[in-house]
Amino acid sequence: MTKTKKCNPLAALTTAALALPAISHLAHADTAPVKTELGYRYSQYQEDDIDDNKILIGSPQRYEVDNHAFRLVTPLNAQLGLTVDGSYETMSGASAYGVAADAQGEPKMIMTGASIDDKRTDVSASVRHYREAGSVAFALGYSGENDYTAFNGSIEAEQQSADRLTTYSGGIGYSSDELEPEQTPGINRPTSEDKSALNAFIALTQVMNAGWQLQGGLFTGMHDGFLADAYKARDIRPDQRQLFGVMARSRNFMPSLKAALHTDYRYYNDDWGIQSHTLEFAWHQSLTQQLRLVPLLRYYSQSQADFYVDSDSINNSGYQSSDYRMSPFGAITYGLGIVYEEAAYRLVANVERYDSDGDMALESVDQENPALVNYNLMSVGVDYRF
Amino acid sequence: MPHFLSHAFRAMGSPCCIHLYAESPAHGAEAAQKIEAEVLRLEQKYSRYRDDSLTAAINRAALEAGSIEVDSETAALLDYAHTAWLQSDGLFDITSGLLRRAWNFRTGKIPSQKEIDLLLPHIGWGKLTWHNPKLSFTRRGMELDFGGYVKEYGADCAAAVALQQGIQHGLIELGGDIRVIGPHPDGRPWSVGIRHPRIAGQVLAQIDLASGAIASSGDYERCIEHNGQRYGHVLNPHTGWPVQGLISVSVVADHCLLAGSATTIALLRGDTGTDWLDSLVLPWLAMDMHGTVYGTLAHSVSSADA
Repeated sequence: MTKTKKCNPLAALTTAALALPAISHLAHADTAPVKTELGYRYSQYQEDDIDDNKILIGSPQRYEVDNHAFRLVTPLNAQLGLTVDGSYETMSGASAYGVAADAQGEPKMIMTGASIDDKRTDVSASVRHYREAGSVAFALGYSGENDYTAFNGSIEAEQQSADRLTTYSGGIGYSSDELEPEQTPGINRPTSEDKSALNAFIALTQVMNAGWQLQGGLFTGMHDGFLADAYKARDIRPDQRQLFGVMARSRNFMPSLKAALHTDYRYYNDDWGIQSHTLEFAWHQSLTQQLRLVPLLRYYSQSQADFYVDSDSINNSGYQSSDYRMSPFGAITYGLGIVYEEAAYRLVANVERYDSDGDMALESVDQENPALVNYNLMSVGVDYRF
Repeated sequence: MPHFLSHAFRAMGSPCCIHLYAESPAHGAEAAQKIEAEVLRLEQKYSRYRDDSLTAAINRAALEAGSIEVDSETAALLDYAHTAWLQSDGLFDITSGLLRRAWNFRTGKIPSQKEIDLLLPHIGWGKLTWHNPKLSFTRRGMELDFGGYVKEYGADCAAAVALQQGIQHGLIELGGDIRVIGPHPDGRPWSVGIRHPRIAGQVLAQIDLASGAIASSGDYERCIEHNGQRYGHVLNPHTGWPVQGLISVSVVADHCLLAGSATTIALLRGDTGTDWLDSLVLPWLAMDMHGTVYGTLAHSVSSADA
């Protein structure tokens, strides 16, 4: 027989009670929507200008993205729920054309002179079928830009154990992308390329005790086709990329503080040589019945791809890329979210600050990529249920 | 405009009632039916009066000093009983139902000490072995009874089903134990009356509840009056005799299960029950045998009784 230390009787009884499925906040089966919900989010993503001393040629202004996202969730019948997502975004700014060494041998950026203006439209729909203690979802999506068209489909399933304390989930998705880069006279770009991606995941979620839920999962993917950046001067990458990763999530509920701590960790590894770690903490603090504050801290670190080069050079042969996404770096994100929720509607607002730097990487970085991004993200939204 | 519905039924030996606001009469009727089905599921599973219940299966094993493996819901209920037993210094004991063989509140007969002494050796949670999921009885003739807390747990389960059905405003009442699903649609709390333990039909206090639960218990529920002495149904598992001290206790908590066990343990502690209630830091109200009212909710007591 387990011995429970006799300290605070209410805490001891609450802990024991929360292990019961009906009382636990953690063990509620996912159920079909009973109301229709309409949501809208506006977000603004703004990259910081690049330091002038990191640019060899071009404008210091980088990307700015305005995104309008819409969501509809509605029951089709008692067992079927439909979710439709749509988003429209406009992007403008200059992007990196390449990295070249300056007279001192320091890598400096070459930015596209003209501002890029692009629009992107995303539409996806998923139908989820809910059963006694599980659900299956099918989704189809389309994404289009001036130079880019992608179609994707996925299937996902979730099943709870008889005691409702364990949830098994898994999914598989496929996407097919077509790229028709815009041509600039004098620059030799590919005219039409395609790529495909097959991704899959499995996860197990376990209610560990009264206020603690743990999830562990594995994910993998196989990307095939043209995987380089067509707008970069010399960007030659393998035409296959296999990735594998592990994720872990912890949810700690603290009824006495009216708070919950969400901790997420993700390890990623691919056959291009990139390994990354992401660790995130989010503290969900209820201030009143309606108002919740969510401060967030995220750390990210990645190693470089095997074929990463500090600067582009025609002397290099074989695979090569000076893209900052292939470079070694670390990043920290600070965020704050506010949620105000009434029975019929929800208002949300978020701000995030992201800073990346070679010095923040777990491993020491000799030469930081000059194109590393820093950005601000702001979003506001409303959801309405009826 | 939300549709209001009240649905009364009988379960666990008590009158039960569901009050809820639904989107349509059909939505309300379907939700009420599912809520009632959940309460009946628990009654069927844990009733000590049904041969096909799990309680009956456990007690068949107990009779032969055998063992039985239980499902996870029952395991969590047994873990809870173990915690309550520890926290109450052995007063909250789900093996004490055996005392009903001596105490029959229907016939009104006071048992002899000899009758009680015959039962006491078979009572005591500490005398059995509970290793999740296996419950083992080391001596013959013990008995488990979930009746001391399954009704309160049932109110919480019923509220969970209501929420799953999309009901956000309503209240579940199972034989005097109340769990709020959510306030009235305009945000007003439910006004819950606590009955007076001595004056039939009179309300001792009026409590406003927008969420959470309230459980009440007292010697008014079942008792024997003999030679001017009142013997309540709350029995001390150590002595086998009804406890003396408080005659009515109500506790407010997030969950009906917690409110109910806090109420029961306070009654079992007799004169020191009020100290224990103070230590919980939950809203509570109690009356002793002299009619004195105690507790953080005492301001809610109707002025005539204060």
